[in-house]
Amino acid sequence: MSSEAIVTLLVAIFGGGTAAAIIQGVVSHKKGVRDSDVAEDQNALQGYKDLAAEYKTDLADLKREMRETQKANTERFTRIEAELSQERSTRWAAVQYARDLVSLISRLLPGASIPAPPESLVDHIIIPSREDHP
Amino acid sequence: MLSSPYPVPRLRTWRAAMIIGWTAGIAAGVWVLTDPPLSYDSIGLALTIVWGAMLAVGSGLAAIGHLTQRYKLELPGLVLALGGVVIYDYLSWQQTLTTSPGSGPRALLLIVLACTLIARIRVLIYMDRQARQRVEMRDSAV
Repeated sequence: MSSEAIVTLLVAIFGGGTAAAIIQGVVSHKKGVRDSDVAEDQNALQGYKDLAAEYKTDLADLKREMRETQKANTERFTRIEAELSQERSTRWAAVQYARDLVSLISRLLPGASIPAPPESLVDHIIIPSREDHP
Repeated sequence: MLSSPYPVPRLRTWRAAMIIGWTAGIAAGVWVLTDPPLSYDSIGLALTIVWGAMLAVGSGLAAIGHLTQRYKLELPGLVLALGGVVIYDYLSWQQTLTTSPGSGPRALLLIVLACTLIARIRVLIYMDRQARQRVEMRDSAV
C-alpha cells in the first residue's frame, strides 16, 4: 500500500469521525443538552443524589400515607368486629327468648296455633305441631 | 464551573495553556499549507493541503471550543486535529524507518500527543452521553 493510499485512508477515517462528532453535537443539542446544562450538572453524582433525595421524600410520603390508611382500616375492622359480636349475642338472646316463649305457650295453651317463625329462624326455633300434644 | 464538560475547576492556567497549545496547532497547520515540508512529498500536494487543513481547522475549532467553553465545538475539532497528528505521525515513522532514524523521538512524542487527544475525545463523548441521559431522565420524570 502506497503512502498516498494510507494517508487518504486516514483522511477518510478522521473526516468521517469529525462528521460523526458534528452529528453527535447536533443530536445532543436537539435532545436539549446545552453547554450551560452540562455546566450545571457537571457533577453528575450530585445530580443523581438530588434525584435520589427527591425519590426518597416521595417514598417517605407514600409510606406515611400507607401507615395512616392502615391505621384507619385497623380501627374500622375492630369496630365492625365489635358490632358483629354484639349483634350475634343479641340474636342468640332473641332466639333463646323466642324458644322460651314457644315452650311457655305450648304448655299453657296446648293446641294453640303458634305463628311460624321467619325463614331465617326456622332452623333455630321449632314450633311443636298439634300431633305433638297429648 | 466550566461550560465545557471537562471535570476541572475554573483554572485560568488550564484555559490559557489549552488556548496557547491549540494556537500552536493552528500555526502548524498554516505552516504545512504555506510551506509544505519537502521531506513528506511522497503524499502529493492535494493530501498535504488536506493534512494542513485538518491541523489548522481542527486546532482552530478546539481553540474556539476552549475560548467559548463549548465542548460541541471542541469535539469535532479534536477529531480533525487528531487526524492531522496521526498523518504526521505516520509520515514521521515512515521517515524514521527509512531515511532519518533520528526522527524517532518526534514520532514517539506524536504518539503521546495522539493518545492525549484520544483520551480527551473519550472524556467529552462520555460526558455528552451522561448529559443526554440526564436530559432523558429529566424529561421522563416530567
